[in-house]
Amino acid sequence: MSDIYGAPPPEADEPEDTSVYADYVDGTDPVTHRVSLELSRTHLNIVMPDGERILWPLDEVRALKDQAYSDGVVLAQGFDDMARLKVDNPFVAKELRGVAPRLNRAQPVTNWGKIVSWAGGAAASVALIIFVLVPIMADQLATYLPPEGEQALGDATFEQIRGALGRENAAVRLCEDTDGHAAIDAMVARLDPREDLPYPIRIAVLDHELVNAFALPGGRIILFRGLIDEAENPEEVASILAHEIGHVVNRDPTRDALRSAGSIGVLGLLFGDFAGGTVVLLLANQLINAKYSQAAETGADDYAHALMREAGVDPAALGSIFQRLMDEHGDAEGIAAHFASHPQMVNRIEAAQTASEGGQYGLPVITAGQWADMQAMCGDSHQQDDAPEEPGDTGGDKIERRGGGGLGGEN
Amino acid sequence: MAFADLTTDYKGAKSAIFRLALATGIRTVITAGFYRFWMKTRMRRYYWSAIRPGGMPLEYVGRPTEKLLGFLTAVVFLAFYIGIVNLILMFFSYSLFDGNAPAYAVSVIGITPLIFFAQYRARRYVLARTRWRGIRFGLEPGVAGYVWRALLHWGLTLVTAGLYWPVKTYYLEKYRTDRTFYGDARMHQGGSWKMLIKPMMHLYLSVALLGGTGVLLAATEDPRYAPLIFLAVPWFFYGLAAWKAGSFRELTNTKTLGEARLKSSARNGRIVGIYAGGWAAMGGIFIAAAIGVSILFGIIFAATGFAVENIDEDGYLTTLGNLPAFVPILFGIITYFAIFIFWGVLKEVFITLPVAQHFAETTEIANPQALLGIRQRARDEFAEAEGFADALPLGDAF
Repeated sequence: MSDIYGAPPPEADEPEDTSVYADYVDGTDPVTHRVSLELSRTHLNIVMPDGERILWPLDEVRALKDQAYSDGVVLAQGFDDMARLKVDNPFVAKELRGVAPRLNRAQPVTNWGKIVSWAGGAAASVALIIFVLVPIMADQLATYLPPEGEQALGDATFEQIRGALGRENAAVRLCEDTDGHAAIDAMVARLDPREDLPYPIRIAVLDHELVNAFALPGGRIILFRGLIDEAENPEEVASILAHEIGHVVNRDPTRDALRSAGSIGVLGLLFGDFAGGTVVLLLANQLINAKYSQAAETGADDYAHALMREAGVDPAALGSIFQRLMDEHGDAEGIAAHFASHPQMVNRIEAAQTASEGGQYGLPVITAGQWADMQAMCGDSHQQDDAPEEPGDTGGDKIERRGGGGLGGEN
Repeated sequence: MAFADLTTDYKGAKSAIFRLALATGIRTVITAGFYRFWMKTRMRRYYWSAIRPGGMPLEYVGRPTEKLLGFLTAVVFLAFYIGIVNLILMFFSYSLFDGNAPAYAVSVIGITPLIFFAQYRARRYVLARTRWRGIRFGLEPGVAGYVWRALLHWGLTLVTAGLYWPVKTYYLEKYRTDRTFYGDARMHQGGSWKMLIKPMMHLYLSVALLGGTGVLLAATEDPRYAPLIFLAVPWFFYGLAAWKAGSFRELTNTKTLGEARLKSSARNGRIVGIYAGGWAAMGGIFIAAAIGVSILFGIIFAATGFAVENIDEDGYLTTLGNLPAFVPILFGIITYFAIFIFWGVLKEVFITLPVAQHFAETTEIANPQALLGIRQRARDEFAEAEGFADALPLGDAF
């Protein structure tokens, strides 16, 4: 380097020893050689103690990545050569970074083809297991599981769900009013599904505002208070109950439980034991089970239609409560439909109306008094609590519903 | 000519490992776990290169894509095993025992041999991808022998309520070490299991005190014995650190590579100090962060008019300023992952790195001229990499 007058910069020391030293290993034995380095326009010259020169083309030289000592640098020639050159001098390391054009390149991946085909193989085997093998085995095993086993499975799940729906460590309250349960028993007796059932059904009502109901293994059926509030007449509750009984008869909850036991483990395998996997895992399982359930839902609907016709209760009630839910919450279609575990409601409403045609429907499913007992079984306080949460017209709706129940009794 | 012992330098830095662990941890979460093969590779490159026996850094040459490939291979086999076996176990558990506890028990027993298999294979892979002075390490094939020995020794450890632990540790380490190569030279684990009794003593005694206190309290119902628990519990944690340092020291001091020998002067007190200081630092940082976030929220809520009256009797938030519903959910998810990532990162910074540093800096190679006759060994292709260890929940042991 020189200044504009061509004289050497005054601070530059007279070169006593311009050599730069480094440690070199050749990859055949663990002997470190103290070598000196020289730089030509195109090559890094490694001068061995005996004077032998090893030339590394500068555009072949690369630095090892993610090294702890970032002031120094460990160099290699290309990706196959075993020799290494350790340069601990920060100034030299810096200069090399300036002259070696491809110092920081990453090793090219040459086996993408193999990776892609194994990925395909892994995906295919997981898909085969989750969508074919596990469902088939779950279907088979569900019918062989003894009733006591199913009941144990259902009891365990029931407590988990109650806990999960509750808040601040208190499980959701059960509505245990005797008159209300008598009304439910009367409803079940009217529908009379006994000859289809492997075990008696046990119905619990949870004090929760969700408009929902579901069946668990072993004949447990859970109704939410929100559903009873939503129904305009007892036939609608009966239609939902008949639908859930359909699930019990088809042993859907047991299949579901066995299926997720198989598929959750496999999915956990894919995403590893890290927390980011948990969310993906739950979403993926939800997707699989939702898709699976669509056939099961149609099956339960069909059962409900037949059961209600036989009992002389109009299956159209299933359509009418779905219609109202759809008006209020909209149909689940598109991507959302995959995650909602019920098939498109329009189809189900039509199916209920078709099933209703030409039937003879007599007495209401339970008496007006029993219906009032059922509506009051979780206590009245909640109805009042709910009212201020929603706009005024909902309050009016509530009164209409009560009236609707009464009218149902006079029919 | 006598060569001086080779001491080990350590070049790792807390700030650098913090940046690397944070950057790779975030990417792993964003990619739903698939970046973890890259994360592991990069973290190992760093940790290996920080350790410099005789001034020459270790090199980790494993590749992320071979880990991905190994993982995919393992998935093909394990998916079948785990899916079908879990389902059948659950079925039998409910049909025979009316509960799922037996299924979990049987499932654990069924998967145990696989875990030992994965451990040995993972070690083989890691050693085969480690070099020092340009020479590869290696582990001889021998996984079947390892699996039955591990089952036997772990079984005896369970049966003897942990008394057998040092014996198990010694024999499993000996099995692995005696099959470990540096270049063409085989390592040897000398000594005997008896040398591990002393490092274990603090654990034995503290557990005995804990158990004894429990029995005394139950038998006499005299609360005056209760303070003994406050003696036994810290002693137990001291014992854990002392075991870590002591067992490493004893096992390292009796490892030889031909005429060369390893020497360790790892200190119990230092390891205890790292753990105590590390956990205190991590706890302190998390508490400080929690306080900071609460203050920030206090300010935000005050500004947006959120108040306690907006929580109704059922505990519902009826308004949250005018925020759409997804904002708190999104915030919850981000907080969850932030805590998860930072916990992992801080553990690298305050525990893993200092422990590695202490063990490295206190390890020497005696009689290093014996190494000069060693020659390179052939590459161990090992296509499955550490796929089984990746797929099974083995934790992140190196």
